[in-house]
Amino acid sequence: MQNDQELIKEYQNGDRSAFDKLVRRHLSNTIGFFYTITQDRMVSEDLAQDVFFKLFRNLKKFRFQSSFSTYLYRINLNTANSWFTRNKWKSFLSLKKADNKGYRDTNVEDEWNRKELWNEISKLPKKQRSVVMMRIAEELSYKEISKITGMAEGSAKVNFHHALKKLKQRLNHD
Amino acid sequence: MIDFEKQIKDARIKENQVVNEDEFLYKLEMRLQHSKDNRRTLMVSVMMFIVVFTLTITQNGTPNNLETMFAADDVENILETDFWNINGDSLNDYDSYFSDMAFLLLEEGYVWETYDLINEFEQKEEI
Repeated sequence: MQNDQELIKEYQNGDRSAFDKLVRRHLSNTIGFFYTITQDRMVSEDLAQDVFFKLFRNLKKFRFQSSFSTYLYRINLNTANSWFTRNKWKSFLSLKKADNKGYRDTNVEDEWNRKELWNEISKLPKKQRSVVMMRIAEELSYKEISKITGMAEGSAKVNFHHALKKLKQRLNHD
Repeated sequence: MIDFEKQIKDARIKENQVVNEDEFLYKLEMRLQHSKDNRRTLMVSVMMFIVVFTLTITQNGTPNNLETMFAADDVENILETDFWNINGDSLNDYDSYFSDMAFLLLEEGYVWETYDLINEFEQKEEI
């Protein structure tokens, strides 16, 4: 079985099917990442389309200076951040709608639910939000996060700590 | 804080994402094709705009011949124009012109002048 780098080289040499293989390999994880954030199947598929669309257009310029997974995570992160920016008001309204319906996540004992959590995450500063997304949605280590975001490992830890503090305050979690 | 982090992580949706890969790839292909078409349309539009713009710019400052071609010196010229014969070529009426002129000269009593005119006409016909 070919690894990612071999597939990318084949794609760069003009083999389109190599790109399809790459998509098939990483599709489930990518949609899973967006589904965690959006909790919407359609939106997560649309965002995954955006990711692979960007990937198709930029993969020919990939220089193998980082691993493909890091590269893909970076695109995922940027796409998610753009989505958060685009849907700031929309997510606020959908939160109100969810409250009116009395939606609660019974799996979580606390007062907040997933929508509230991700709504609060969307309000965080970009750096903190990026670290939280990578830590929560993908369970990545600080080392991996520092590679993806380009910030120092210590900075990633500090950002995550500040983000958790804010989230705890906002979700009234004692 | 560690408990809170754990709770947040536990709140993740642990659901296996069953994805129809073929359908996803088909949609992606359609989107790429659409984007390609859009880019081509944009390129053609930009090129057409550049051509029209260049042609417009190069025409700046050149004399406008149309004005002189169609400008009427006098309104009377237009009013007196024989619109029935305006498309007629004057060369076609050359014969009738000579015969009319010869009759006019004969009526006025210019016999020799009439003779010269007929001679001139015959010479022109020979040429």
